[in-house]
Amino acid sequence: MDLVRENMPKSQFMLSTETYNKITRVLKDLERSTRADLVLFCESNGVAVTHAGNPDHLNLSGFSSLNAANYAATREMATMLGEQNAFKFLFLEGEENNIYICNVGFEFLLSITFSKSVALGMVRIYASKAVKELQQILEDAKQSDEQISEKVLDDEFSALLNDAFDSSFNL
Amino acid sequence: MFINWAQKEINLKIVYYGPGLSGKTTNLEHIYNRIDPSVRGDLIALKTKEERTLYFDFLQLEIGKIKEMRPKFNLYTIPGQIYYAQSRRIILRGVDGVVFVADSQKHRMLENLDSLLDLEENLIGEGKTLESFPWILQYNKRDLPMVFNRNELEKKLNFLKVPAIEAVATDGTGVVETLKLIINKVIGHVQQTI
Repeated sequence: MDLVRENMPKSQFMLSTETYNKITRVLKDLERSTRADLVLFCESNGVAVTHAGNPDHLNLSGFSSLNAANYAATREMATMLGEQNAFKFLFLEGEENNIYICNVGFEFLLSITFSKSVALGMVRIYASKAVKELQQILEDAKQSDEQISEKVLDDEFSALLNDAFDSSFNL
Repeated sequence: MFINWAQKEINLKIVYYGPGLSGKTTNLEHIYNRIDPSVRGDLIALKTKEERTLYFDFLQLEIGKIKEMRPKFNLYTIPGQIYYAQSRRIILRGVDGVVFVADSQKHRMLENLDSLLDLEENLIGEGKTLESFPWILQYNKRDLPMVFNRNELEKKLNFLKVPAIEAVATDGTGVVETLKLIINKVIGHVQQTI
């Protein structure tokens, strides 16, 4: 059971503003160096964390959940084939757009959307460098971010949430 | 749960579980159509050519700004058919709460029980148990003939005495109430754990 737990994303994760800013800076560098249209950093369960580039035409939460589901499916395929780890990356090639997805540890994914004018080899090289930087940032944040314990979800929060829920449904 | 302090977001994942054709997708479709469009994203449905759920449905709701935080609820359905076991395991990862959508029809009871057992096994794989995890029951299809009555359903499915709601997802009866109930269960559980 312990082995299984180690190979699964955590069910609770907190990210500080400082860590968020550091991650976003890495994504912006990656966007510039690869001339990518969108660089997305998401949690492996599908939550979009931060991005660089222009996602205006996209439903980012949906896009993020599909990235995660796609990657999770290939991870299962790797396991079925007896691979020790997940596939190194997932590459989707379209007429105009390509997507490169790779994992950042077990908890996060990096997804890069780029046009056909950009070489995959270049994306792979810069993505690999960015993954190392992101892993270091997350490693450094591991202790500090988990200790943030602002008690936001109190009884007042629940009451206000119920009011907002009712108003969302015109109840 | 994923808290992004920079964006003031609290992300919670709720999964609609249950046997094939019990009404999981119909629940999400009704929520999508009923809720204020400004607080929801698109409904993403990955279906087979026969319009059955192949992988999952996904809908994100962002319900207000509360104490400077933006709670986001990521709703997923699982594919209920037996042979999509692997997909169900993937969708259940990182789950914060489950709505088990049971089919009230008498001839579907075995499928309900199989699916509940499947849920329990998958939760154990996630390091969780039905006893300690926030989940609720929805007795769906109350409008159909040949259904078990509420007491019979409670005896057969609700052995852990979790909250249960009767529903007719096709006309929306009980759907919004179910969502509100699971959201409260999940928030209550999170309050205890952080």
